[in-house]
Amino acid sequence: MIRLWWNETLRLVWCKRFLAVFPAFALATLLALANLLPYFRAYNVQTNVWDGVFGTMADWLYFRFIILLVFVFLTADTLVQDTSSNWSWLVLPRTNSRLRWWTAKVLSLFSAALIYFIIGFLVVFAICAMQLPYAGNFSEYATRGSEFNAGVGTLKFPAGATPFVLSTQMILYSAFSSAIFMMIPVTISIVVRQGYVALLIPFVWIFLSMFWQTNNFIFSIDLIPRLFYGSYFSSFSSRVINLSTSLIYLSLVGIACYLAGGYMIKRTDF
Amino acid sequence: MNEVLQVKSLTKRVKQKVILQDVSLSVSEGEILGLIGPNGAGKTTLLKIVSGVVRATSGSVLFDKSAGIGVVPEQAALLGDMNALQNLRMLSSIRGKIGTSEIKQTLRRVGLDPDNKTAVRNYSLGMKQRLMLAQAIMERPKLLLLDEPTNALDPLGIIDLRMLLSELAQAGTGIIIASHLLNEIERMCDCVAIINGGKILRQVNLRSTEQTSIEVSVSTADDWGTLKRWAESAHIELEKLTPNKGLPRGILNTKMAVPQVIAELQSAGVAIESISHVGPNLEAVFLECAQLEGGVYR
Repeated sequence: MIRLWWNETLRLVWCKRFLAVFPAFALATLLALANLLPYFRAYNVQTNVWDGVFGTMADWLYFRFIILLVFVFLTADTLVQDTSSNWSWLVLPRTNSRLRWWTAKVLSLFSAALIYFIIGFLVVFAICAMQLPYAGNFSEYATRGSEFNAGVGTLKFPAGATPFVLSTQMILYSAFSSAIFMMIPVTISIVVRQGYVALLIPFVWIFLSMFWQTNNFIFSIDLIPRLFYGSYFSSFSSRVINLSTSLIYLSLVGIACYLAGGYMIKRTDF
Repeated sequence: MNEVLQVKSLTKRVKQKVILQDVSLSVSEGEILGLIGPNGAGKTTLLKIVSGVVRATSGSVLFDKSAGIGVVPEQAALLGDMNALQNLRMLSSIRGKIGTSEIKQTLRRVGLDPDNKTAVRNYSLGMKQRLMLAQAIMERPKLLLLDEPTNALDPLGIIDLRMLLSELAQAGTGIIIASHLLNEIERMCDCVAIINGGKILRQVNLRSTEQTSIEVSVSTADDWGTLKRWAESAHIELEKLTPNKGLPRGILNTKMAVPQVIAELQSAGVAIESISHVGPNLEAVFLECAQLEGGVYR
């Protein structure tokens, strides 16, 4: 099982298109810095590298339309590719169990997401470190941002959080939620064996959620993508969603997709 | 010999369409079975059901799963960004039965360089096909399924493949080859199943020792008459063929060896122009099946 999981993870990350992680996070960082640096200069406030890091990775716009979209592009058609290229014909007879294969595929989404966000974080950190000074704690801008009327990019931190703990939480949360989000099109692609459908579902979802936001309806269309850009970390926090409820919600979505996929995978032809 | 595969009454329906209907066959250790039939006959579906990729509507497939199964799909299923060794490592890691040295040995065996770092996407079609063959045989499965294995292979590659399959069969591997190429099937296989419309129309044993076919050409029509009378009296089946360069000729289906037939015909007074052992004529059997099925191949 572990070997199969490792195999599926390598299949997702050991390919040329996974290199898109570098330009995606670099672009998001440059756009975020272009937005933040004028604020820092205008208010002459003390800043550090973490302002750039959180300003990039917790920004709903860059997260949703650059970081998440690229992850969709990297993983959505994993199952469709396997079947259309006959790769599944080589793997399935070796596993002797379709459910093991499906489990490995689901787990590989999580490990690929984790690798994606770790690499992405390093890219963001490296670029921000070239523009902003390093420090081991939050800056004056981050902790007292509202005093400078710096509404965009300011962060609301949990009590006792350090930049390192928060970065780790952010990477883990982003990887977990993105993997859960990708389970939806991957599960659907067991039945609808078209690569463009698998890509289109999350793309449409993300774009629709941009124009159809609501904060108090748990089944609203933007709920899952909104969780990605980190309501917990952002000052634009939701009225009904916090970290624990979002983790429970995401876990339930993940379990539902896994069970539905497991049921379908046993009954489908490849 | 032990059977490595038993397929019993296999039926596959997709909605109302029948893809396979009541297919039964078996493959023994060291046997090479050819599956021939037109496009859409059900060959690939049968191989997919045997390998567990497609589910049968009814019927059973029995083989020793622990002994493994090797598959060569018609289209190369490889990870283009990786090299040959990395591709095979990925696949072998699933079972974890073999290590890098065995993989390298298999790559050499199919004529590929294990130290070649070129990404597989830059391989020629023939090299990809050799690599597909390597992944199928590297774990020494007891059952090997090949779907159009000669596609994209150059003449040397086809000869290599023939020799390799012969070696594997001698080592006890049961092999099924689906192909359109009657010539190749005739050369490689011990037995052939002709499939069309999801049904196995006929199975032909190409290495039968029970009865052989001997083609005889005689000098004149009188000789043909004498030959016919001799065949009737000896209870030997004689099929008339179209004359070759005006010489009457036919096929004798008999258990007798060629020298014995020559001696008998000479003593019966038949002037023989030529005589040779021809074995079962796969093309003739195939066309006969086609005619029985309403001439679908014409």
